[in-house]
Amino acid sequence: MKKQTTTVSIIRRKKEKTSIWVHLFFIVFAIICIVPFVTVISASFSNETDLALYGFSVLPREVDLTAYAYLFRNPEMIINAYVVTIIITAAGTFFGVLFMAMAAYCLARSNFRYTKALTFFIFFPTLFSGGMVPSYIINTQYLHLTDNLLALILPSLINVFHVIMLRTFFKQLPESLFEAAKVDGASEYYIFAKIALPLSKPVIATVAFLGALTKWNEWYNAMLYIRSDDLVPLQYMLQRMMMNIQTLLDAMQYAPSMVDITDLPGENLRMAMLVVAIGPMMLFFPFFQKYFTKGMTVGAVKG
Amino acid sequence: MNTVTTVNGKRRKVKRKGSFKDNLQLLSMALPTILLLAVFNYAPMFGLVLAFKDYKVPSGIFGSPWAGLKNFEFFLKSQDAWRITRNTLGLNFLFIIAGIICGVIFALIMFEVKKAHQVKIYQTISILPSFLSWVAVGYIVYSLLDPTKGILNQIIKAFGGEGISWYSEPQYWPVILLITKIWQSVGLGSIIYYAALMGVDQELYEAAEIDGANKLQKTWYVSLPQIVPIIIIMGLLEVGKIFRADFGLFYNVTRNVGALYPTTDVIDTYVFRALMNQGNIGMSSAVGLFQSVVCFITLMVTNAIVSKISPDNALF
Repeated sequence: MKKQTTTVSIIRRKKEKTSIWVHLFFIVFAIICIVPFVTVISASFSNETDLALYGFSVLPREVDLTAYAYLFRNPEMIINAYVVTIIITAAGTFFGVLFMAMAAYCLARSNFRYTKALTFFIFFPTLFSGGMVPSYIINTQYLHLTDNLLALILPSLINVFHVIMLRTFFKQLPESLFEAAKVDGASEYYIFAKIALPLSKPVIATVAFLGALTKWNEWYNAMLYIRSDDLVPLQYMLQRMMMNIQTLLDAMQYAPSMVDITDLPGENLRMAMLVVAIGPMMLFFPFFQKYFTKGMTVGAVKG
Repeated sequence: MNTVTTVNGKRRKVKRKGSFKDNLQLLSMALPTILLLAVFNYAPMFGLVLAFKDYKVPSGIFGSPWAGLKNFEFFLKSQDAWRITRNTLGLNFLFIIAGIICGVIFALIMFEVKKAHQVKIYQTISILPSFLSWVAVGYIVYSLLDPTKGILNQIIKAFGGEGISWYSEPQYWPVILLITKIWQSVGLGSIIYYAALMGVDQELYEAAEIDGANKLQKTWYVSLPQIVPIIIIMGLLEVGKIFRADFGLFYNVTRNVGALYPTTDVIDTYVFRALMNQGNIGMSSAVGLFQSVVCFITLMVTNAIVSKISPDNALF
């Protein structure tokens, strides 16, 4: 008994002093993580002439709102990109989670006869894939998804690892619940909607969050399938701007001759665009962090 | 008589695997997933025959004439085959090794933070970069590396050095990509190791303490050996994917600059360009098929090894 208390007290003492070096390490790392963001924000509030003369800096030499003024004078493009992004994120997450949960429920039920075959069918695409070229040909030549928002929603709707995560969770629910409902004459649809889903909020939230994040960050399929300016999601708009700033100026319909050339925004506009595109996300982020960590640890465990 | 058999048959089925009606309902629930996978995952697998075809849009995939191995020949005879395979394997190997080392060290240091709320703050900040798309990361790297305005060249010049035009000097890029990749993924990657550390039996540390072990010794002799299995497994799972490059990283962070191809062009970016810029469908699908097959084999091999070591962690 006495020995135990001494050990505890040793640990307690150790606990109290997390080494200063450990804190120092994380403070330095935090700075490395955050400084790039600050630089970007600072650049967006800088004057283009300052940027051209002195380059990027952690703090702006002089706060200048030209870039934002440009952006918000013709906000259609940003608003449009936001709308597209919100549509694909909302639709993609909702239907993705619904379909994946239904399939996972099917795999988790002990009265389902084809568990093995269906598991194989769902899992095999993670081992072997047709790759970019056949997908591109099929989606453009056969499904005619060019310039169709469905091209940004459908191909990435099902994430096999999320199906497995959901199935693992459903399997842990007590079988007796399902059986009791069966005895009362409930259909499988009813059991899924009224029993399985409400009990699975944590895993649903995790999958929904991870799904929403990938859809929010979607640019790859947009790059392959979207040509029309009206259907460009945020990240793809950013990408096009990275490759060519003129894209942005053209889209905002600024005739360069009308403005003083030295004042024409370039880098600051680029960075302002980035801030407007990722800023809101970054503000929400800390609230969802736990789902991210959970997804990481749960996802690594096979069902 | 008839009714009896059906009843009997039904009862038997209920006992074994549920009724026909249940199964129909369950199957109908899996249907959207089955259809989506069939269209977007399985159909492209059959589309891989393109690698052996001389694709003509009007005749479609199956109507186009056969090309034999011409597409493969074209690729293998070009100088690109060796370059993109080397870059893909070399860089991915670098990422795997460095990713594991940094992730484990990060987790071990995180494990030394004893207050839960501090852990949470540090984790939140270190995961922040993982929230960004590679497009956004590309911007951040650009703000550091732009030859005239970038912060890195400003620092070099402040110390009297000469600025480097990063986007035209391929020799630096393996390191740049490595640092970018680690910066973006270490926080998230370390979580799995941190979770493993949290699961280590507390008594082991108490025992080590009674034996007079200091902090470093506890880390080296207790923590590390305890998480070796998960390290090996994560490593093997990563090696299984070594033939697939992270397209977003290689495309956006390099800004697809041609001068950097010698060290940054990987199979995925090469296929993309062959398809979109040159419209060379035959050759790009030949390369894609090569990648898919090799990738499948490495996955099977690594998974076989993992399932020997720890069946619970195997993919299947």
